[in-house]
Order: sequence, then structure tokens, then C-alpha cells
Amino acid sequence: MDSPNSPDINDSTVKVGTMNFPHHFVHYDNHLMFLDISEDGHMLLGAGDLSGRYWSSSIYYSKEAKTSLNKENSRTTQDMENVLCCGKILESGKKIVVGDDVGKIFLASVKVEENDNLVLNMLVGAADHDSAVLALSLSPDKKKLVSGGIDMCIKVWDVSESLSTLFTYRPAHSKMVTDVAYSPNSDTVFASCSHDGSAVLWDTRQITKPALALKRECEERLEAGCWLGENVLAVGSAYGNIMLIDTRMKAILGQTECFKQKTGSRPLHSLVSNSNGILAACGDTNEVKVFETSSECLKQIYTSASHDDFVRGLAWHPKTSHLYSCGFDSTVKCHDISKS
Amino acid sequence: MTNNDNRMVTVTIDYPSVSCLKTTFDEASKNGFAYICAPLAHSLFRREFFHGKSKNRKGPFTRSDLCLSSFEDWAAVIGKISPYINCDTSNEYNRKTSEATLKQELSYACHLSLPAVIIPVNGPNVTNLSRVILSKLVPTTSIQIWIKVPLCDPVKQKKCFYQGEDEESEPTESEANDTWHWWNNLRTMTDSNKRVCVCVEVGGDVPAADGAVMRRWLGEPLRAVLLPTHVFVTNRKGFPVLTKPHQALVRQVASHCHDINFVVTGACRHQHFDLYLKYIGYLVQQKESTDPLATFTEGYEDFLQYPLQPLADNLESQTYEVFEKDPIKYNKYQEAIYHALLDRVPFEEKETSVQVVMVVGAGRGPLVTAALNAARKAQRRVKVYAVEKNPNAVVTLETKQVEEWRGEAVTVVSSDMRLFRPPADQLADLLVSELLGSFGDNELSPECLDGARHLMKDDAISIPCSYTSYLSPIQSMRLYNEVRGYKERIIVKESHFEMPYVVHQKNRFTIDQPQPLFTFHHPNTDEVPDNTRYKQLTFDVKTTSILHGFSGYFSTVLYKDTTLSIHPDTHSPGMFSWFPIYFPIKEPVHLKAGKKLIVNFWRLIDKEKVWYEWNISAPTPIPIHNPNGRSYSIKLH
Repeated sequence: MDSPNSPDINDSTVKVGTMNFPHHFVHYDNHLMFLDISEDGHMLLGAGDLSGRYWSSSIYYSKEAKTSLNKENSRTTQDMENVLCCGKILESGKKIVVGDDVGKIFLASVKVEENDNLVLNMLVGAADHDSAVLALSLSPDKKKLVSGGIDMCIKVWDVSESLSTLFTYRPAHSKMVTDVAYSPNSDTVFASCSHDGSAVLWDTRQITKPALALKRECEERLEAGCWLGENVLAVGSAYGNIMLIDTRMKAILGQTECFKQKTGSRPLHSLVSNSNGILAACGDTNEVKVFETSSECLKQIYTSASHDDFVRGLAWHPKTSHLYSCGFDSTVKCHDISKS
Repeated sequence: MTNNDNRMVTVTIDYPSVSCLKTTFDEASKNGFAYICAPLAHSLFRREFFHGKSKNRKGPFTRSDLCLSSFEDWAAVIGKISPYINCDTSNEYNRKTSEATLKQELSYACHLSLPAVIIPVNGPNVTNLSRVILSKLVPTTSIQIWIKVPLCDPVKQKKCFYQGEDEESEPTESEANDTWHWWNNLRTMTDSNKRVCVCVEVGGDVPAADGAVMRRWLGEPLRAVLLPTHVFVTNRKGFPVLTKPHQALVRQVASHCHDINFVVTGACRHQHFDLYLKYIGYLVQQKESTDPLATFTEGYEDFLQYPLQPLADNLESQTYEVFEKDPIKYNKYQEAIYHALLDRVPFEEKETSVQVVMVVGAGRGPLVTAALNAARKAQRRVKVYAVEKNPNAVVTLETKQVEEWRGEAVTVVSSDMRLFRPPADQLADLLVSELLGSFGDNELSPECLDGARHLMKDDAISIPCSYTSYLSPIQSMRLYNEVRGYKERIIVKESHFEMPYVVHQKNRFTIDQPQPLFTFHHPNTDEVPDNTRYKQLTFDVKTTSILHGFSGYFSTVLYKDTTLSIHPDTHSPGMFSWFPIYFPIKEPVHLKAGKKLIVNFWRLIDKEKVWYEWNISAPTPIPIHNPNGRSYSIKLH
């Protein structure tokens, strides 16, 4: 396998924006799909075109989090011809992992040159999901990756060297898997949630029965999940509820209706927390909301309606109290929570 | 009529998402896939229909109709709705958004004139979904809806990974996780609409091919079987193949269902998608046998035919010709006559005794030939009378008398057997007839043979000497819908549900084994023969299913051990003269496993006609069908 910083990057596999498409079609990847910020502040952003002639994607990568996007700097590779649904920075300035809407997962090298020019190169790809990969999560030691998707399947991968399957749970849920998240303190334990309404704790050390249901199946579909410390899992539902689940008691501690509107609560789409137990949420609305969760109940401390369309990606800046969001309106917004 | 087209296997490829529709479509066509399945809108592109800034989102909700070069191409695309649609949620916003999304996508599919749209169903609650589907099945559209259900509920499949969940711990199947019920609920609520079909997604585990769960699916309008690439295993040469149970399933479905589509779905886990297509083609073509019966029945599968009325109408030459080609039937008659002659005439009398063989309803003479052959083989002397009421067939008989039977003692009699008066010394030793219909007595063999008793000596033998009809309850939405569309002969309202049809039945599920219904013996020595019958049959419902009517069969004893049968368990090998009969009912009846099904059948007679009436009295009573023979009867004259 090529080392991510190998100098012999083959430029022919890199294309800029519309290069693969006939010139008479104007082509923009307008819908911002996901956002990730690494511990040292690098930002990964995935854009897609979900309604045009070509359903395609491109990647933005920069050494610092920012809200201005230069389309000239977005990249894709020939292998990544489909829409990328999720992505994570594996190694700052070197390696990323992304999942697409046909079930492929790719490791790619990234290199930001001096003029902010991005060089993106596919390292290895794997096709073992049967439909869109909706969620990726890296273990704290960054050696393992868990993926889940519309095919109801969860896979655990070894990403320390290349991309190889460690475990396949098929089917892991009885409906699509909407989110997966490694426990902040374990490289073998992760949580998953699904449209089947259940939230599940997985321990890959258990060979025969790795799964433990934290919340049983029900009609209320779960759309997103994230950890608040090592014992509390926050999950967001299609009914617009955020629930905090104690993973030891398997009990719901607190609950709030998040995106209440006169025509009904909007479904959650993504949840992210920072190290202070602050939880940010977005959903099928243009709003971003932030909650304090210190006392095991949810208290809204910030709300923003600065986006013009559904918000899809959220990420906390690890060094500041800034929250970044992106969405279908093709903008990235920065929210300063310390002001609230 | 017989369709001799090479039956090609239809294999379709299903894409979770398609980047460039044109490229993907061209590639799939080039590789030989018949259709592609593609999302109608991107599965992550959620829309706002009611309130907020997103309601005014600019731009289209999906790619345009210009992405493929012609509507011929779109006719090979099967649309898939967005996976998050859930019309039956109790949450109002989710429900309304789902309805709006579904309507938008279905309208677009109609606009593109797609042949079908796949709608997944993942639970028993389908009420509101059914309503939305019905609202789109208006006469101005022709789109089909393919309801996709998993063959096994994923709730059961995932249990192997879960602590505190034991697959073995739940021996009783509940209706909620029997995926057939999901489909059955939707089918019932959409009134068994012909345009609503079903497709099943196969998992790693499959139900036994000969088990009731699988056989019940064969009575459904199954349009597609989804084969995920992860159920394929790799053989020693590196090619994808299916395990034995999966192979059995594919073959069984291919032989029972009409226009079946095998859909390859999932990631490409072998060198090329091509390999799956080739393997499925190989697997299905392998089952195509050179069995003469299969060749004969091709094109007749589930094709309704009105039963013959040979007494009232004269058969056409073509009809005689088809039936004379049966390789089995006349051999059996010959065998029966042979044994009867040997039994009646001891060896020492073989030169002196001349047996009178009367063939009643001789048609164009195949039984005359059989009788002559049998006599030659048995070395017994016969005098054959060929009695036929159809003057057109008599032309053939008289020609054969001169050309084929020259020198043999054959007398052609142009008369109804009931009116023929032979010389007193010429009464029959053997009365041979072929008057049986698919349901045995339904072409009035009892009445005809009773009317021919005066032709027989007191100790004469009738060939056949007895026959029995059989009945079994069946589920077949296909046959039910065929009847519903069969309006040619409607006299009174719903009369097409009050008559039987002769039909080679393929797409059906037999709910319980056939049971004997009416038996007739000949000659009937009763003073006044009574050919009316009434019988109540009790069937066991072993699998929850839908009753769409009854299949009828018959078997007959020609003479002693020589028999003919179309009963599925004893069917005479290679004999194609009779297809089974189907008695429909007006409204499908839901049958629960473990319950008794009580069926009532009558054979009734008046001066002009004979007719059947039928109904069920348990688990729930239904109206008696065909009272007084108002919709269907067999004329005596």
C-alpha cells in the first residue's frame, strides 16, 4: 500500500470539479453533506449534487476550519464517482476515510499545498455495504473504523494499515442503521442507532453475542446518536426528540423535543458533543440548536437559523468553543457558543 | 395459444444509487440485464413540503427525463422510492412528509412511464400506504407497484447477535413477523388490484422449498425475487454460485410464477456483475426440460378456458385432433379392453365367441382403433359399433371404415347413444366411452351412460367402470384476477364467479390435499339412477392463507387395475388430455392456520340441465354460488 505521504502521487487520478463531465453541463456539488474537524483543527467537508444529471461528490480539505469555500479547491477522484455521505479525518493532513451512497468505503490521502491547492488520492476502497453508508466512526486509537448504513449492516474495519474487515454484523438492525459512534474511552465498544427505533451497544470482544440493546425497538425511528462522556448516549429521533440514555442502567434520563414547529417537530439528522458535555443538534430544518447536558437533563443554550436549508453536517472545533455547521444551502457557518 | 418463444430468463440489476444514469443504463443493457432498478430521487435528498425556508428550495428534486435518450430506455427502468418514507407512522409530520414524498415520486415515475415502482414494506402496518398506492392506480396510469418484503423478518435474523435473545426461544410464529402477512394486508386493502404485485428479498437463510411458507408465496403474484450478492458463495473457480436451498428456491419460483424477474442487488462481490446474470440464466434454463407435457402446456399456464359442452355443442375437428395426440390415454384404453376381453372369453372360446364392443361417443375413432388393436393382441374376436352423434365426425368414421378398418367388423352408427336401438342379438359386451371432463362427471358422462344402459347385456362391462372427482382449496390471486377480468359470458352480475374454468394452474398454492368428492359407477343397475350429489368436505388449514377457490381433478378406473388420473399425487405420467378445473369464489376468504375449512358441493339436475352449486360454511359462511344453475349449467340436450 502506498504510504499516504508518498511523493509519487499520480495526478491523473485527481480531477478538478467538473473535469469528468461534458463541458456544456454546468456542474456544482452544491449540497454540503458532512463535516469533520480533527484534533488539531483541520477541516474535512463533503459536498454532493443530489438532484442534477450527475449525482456526484467532491471533497474540501483545509488546514484550518473556515466558512469560505473556494470551489476551485474541491477535489474528487475517479473512484469516488458517487455521492459521499459521510467522512472522517483519519490522520490530520494525511489521510481521510469516506463512505458513499452505493456502499463503498475509501481511504484517501490528502495533501494541502502552499497555495491551498488540495491533492487528493485514493489509497484503497472496499465495497461490502449493499447500500449507502450513512455513518462512520473512528476508535479513539484511530486504528478501527465502524460503518453502518441503509443495508442494516454494521462493519468493523482495521484501518491501521489498509482497510480490512474485522467484523460484519448482517443484519445488525432490522431497519437502516443511521448512526454509529465509538465510545470515547474504548477501542472495542461502540453504539449504534437505527430506524428500527433501537439503540444498541456493541462490544467486539464478545464473539458470539456482541450486541446489547440499550433501548428496544419501537416505532420512533432513531436518526442520530453521540456519546456524552462514557456512560451516557444521546440519541435523536425522527419525531424530533433527543433522549439521553444511561448505558449502565439502560434507562432514559432525560428527553426534549428539539425542533418544535407549528407543523410538527422536525426529524433530527445529526448530534455532536464536545468534551464539556455540550450537545449540538441539526435536523430536517434550517436550525442548529445547542444544549447543556450537565445535570442529566437538556437545557437549550443556543439556537441559530442562519442556514437557508436543511443542516446536514456538524462539528465542534476542539480548541475553541466554536461549532461549525454545513447544509443543503451550500454554506458553512460558524457558531460561537461562548457568547450565549 | 401455445407460445413457442424461447423463454428467456429476465435478470435485473438493482443499484442503491446511480451517479450517471446514462452510463449505468448503457452498461447494464450491454451486459444483458433486462431492467435496472434505480432510485427516483436521491435517498439522502429530503424535501420540505410544508413550512420553513427549505420549502422554497431552488432547483429540481431529482434528475430530469432528459438523462436517458428515449422513453424506450425509461421503459427498462424500475423506480425505487426513498427509503425513509413511512406512511404509517403515528407521528403526523413524518406521516405527512412521507405521503407527500411518495406522491411526488410516484407521480414522477408515472410521468416517466416507468413500468414499475418498488415500494418496500417492513412491517404489518400498511393501511395508509395502501390508500396512497390506490390513489395512484387510476386508469390514466399503467404503472405497476411492486411491494418488496423480505422473505424472513430481519427482526428474527438479527437476533443471533443480541444478548438475551435466543433464536430458539420463540417457537411460535406470530403474524407480525411473518412477512407474508405484511403483503397480505396490503393486497387485501388494495382490493387484490392486478397492478399491485409482490417481490421478495431473499436472505442468507431460506425457507424449505417444499415447505408451506415457500409454497404459499407461489400462489402470489410474485414479480421479482431479489437476490443480494451476499447470499452467493464462491465456487472453486472463483465464480458466484448459490447454495442448494437457494438454487431450489430460484428454480421453484421460475417454474411457478409468470414473467418473473431475478433482481441482483448489493455490492459487486465477484469480478463482475455479469457473472451473477450468467449464473442465474444457467440455473433457470437447466430446469427447462424436454418433457412433452411441459411443451404441451406452455402458453396455457393460468389461461382460463370455458369447459366443453360436447352434448350441446359439436366438437371441432381441431379439438378432436389435439386430444387424439395424447400418448397415454388410448394406450390405457387399449390395455383395459384387452384385459376385459381376456376375462370375458376363455381361451377355448376364442374362435367361437364374438364380443360386441360399442364405442359410444366415438368421435373420429381413436377408441375403435384401440378396441381393434386390443382384440388382435388378445386374440379374441370382436364386432365394433362406433356410435357418434356429431354428423361431422361421422364423415371421418365412415372414411376410416373404408380405408383404415377395411376387413374389420366395424359398424358406424350416426346417432345419439341414448336413441340408438341395436338389433336384440347385438347388445354390447363392452361399452367403451370417453366422456369424462376435468372434474370427471362434468361433461355428463353419468347421464349419457345411464342413457346407454339399454345397449348393454346384463353382464356387460363399462369402460370406464367408475370415476371420482377431487377437490382442494387453493390460494391464487392470479386465477382470481383472471376470473375477475373474464367478462365475456356475463349474463347476470358476478356470474363469471359462478362457473368453473379449465386451466393449467401454475401460480397457485394448495391449501390442503385434494379429497374425493363425487363417485359414479357403471353400469348403474338402480331402477331410477340418481346422479344428484351433495357432499361436505372438511379441510385442515395448516398455513394461514387466502382462499381464492378450488381446484378440481378426477381419476377413473377404466377396468380393474387400469386407471387414468389427473389427481396431482397419481397423475398419469405424460397424459395431457385434461387440465384441472378451477371453481372460483366471489370474495377471497382469510383462513387462519389451525382452523377447519368446510366446503359444500352439490351436483343438481333438472329436465334441461345439470349444474354445480358450492359454498363454504366454516370458518365463515359465504353465499351459495350458482343457485339453480343461474350462471352456469351443462345442457342435457
